[in-house]
Amino acid sequence: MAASAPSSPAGNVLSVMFLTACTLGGLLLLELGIWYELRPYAIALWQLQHLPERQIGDDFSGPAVLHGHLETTALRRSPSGTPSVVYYAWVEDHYRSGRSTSVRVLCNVGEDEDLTFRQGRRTLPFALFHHDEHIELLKRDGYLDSLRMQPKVAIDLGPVVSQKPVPEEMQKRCNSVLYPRGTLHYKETRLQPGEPVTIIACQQAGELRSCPGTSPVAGVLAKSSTARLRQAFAQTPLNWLRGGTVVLALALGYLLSVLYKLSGGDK
Amino acid sequence: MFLSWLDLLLGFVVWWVGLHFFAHAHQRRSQRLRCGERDRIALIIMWLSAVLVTTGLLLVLASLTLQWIIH
Repeated sequence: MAASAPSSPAGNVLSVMFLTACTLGGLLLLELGIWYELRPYAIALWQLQHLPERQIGDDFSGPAVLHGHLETTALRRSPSGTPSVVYYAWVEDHYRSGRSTSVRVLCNVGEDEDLTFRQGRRTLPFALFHHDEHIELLKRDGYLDSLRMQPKVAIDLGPVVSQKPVPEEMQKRCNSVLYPRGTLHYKETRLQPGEPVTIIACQQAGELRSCPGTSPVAGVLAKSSTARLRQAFAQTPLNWLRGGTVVLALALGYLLSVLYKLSGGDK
Repeated sequence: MFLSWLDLLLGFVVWWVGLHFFAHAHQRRSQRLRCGERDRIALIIMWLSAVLVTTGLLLVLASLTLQWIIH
């Protein structure tokens, strides 16, 4: 546990000063994480959990949860040939960079226009991300993947499907950019016809639209339930806290070790 | 129960580091007090260790709270 203490007095002072600065940095990171991330996110997540559930035909304008299905007028097929209502597909290039493996996305395609939300016999135009909103797709590539609640519309179409080689249709669409440094991986996530969805949206001008900044979320489109998205939302403030804790533990641990040794150790 | 079990693991490591220094500093301070010596550095170490332990506790509590909110 104990670190080797610097030998010269000037070195000791510099070391203590540096470690104190690192400790203060860690504390600052923690405070930022708590006041600007954890606190507002905890409130927003609480509000998200208590959003009212609505049906098409209800009179509402604020954010609400709706369960139903998405439809589109023309049948779509993802580049892998799967019938889909909405899909996003991309090609990743996995290449060696020094001792580690790096990943870069070479090409993105997707179809998410011309959608209708259906509940039984009732329908409503679905325009959650059709008025210049930005979207963020939950890919769940990493263990602690996080997603912000605002200002982007969060989308979770279930687990990402990966395949090699890249389908021919995708090769045609991305022909001009597919110059790999390593191995190409094709990935896609899709919503198939008839699959249930949960959305969080606001009703405006007879459409389901994204919600303003005062709402806990801009909008949500999730296959079956929003559980995976809520998990990703909650990771955002906690990643700040984890980072601050690690920095503080390293800096403070070393500072305490140096202080303890310089002041005589166990004697 | 926790948003990620990594938080509990991280919390334990932080607690262990904090409690380790706290215990050593407390023991040394007691010994020196018995000999009539004051040990201010040990007191500082004890306070900083307490900060570390509190940080670990905060992380675990935040993880528990967020998990409770989203379920």
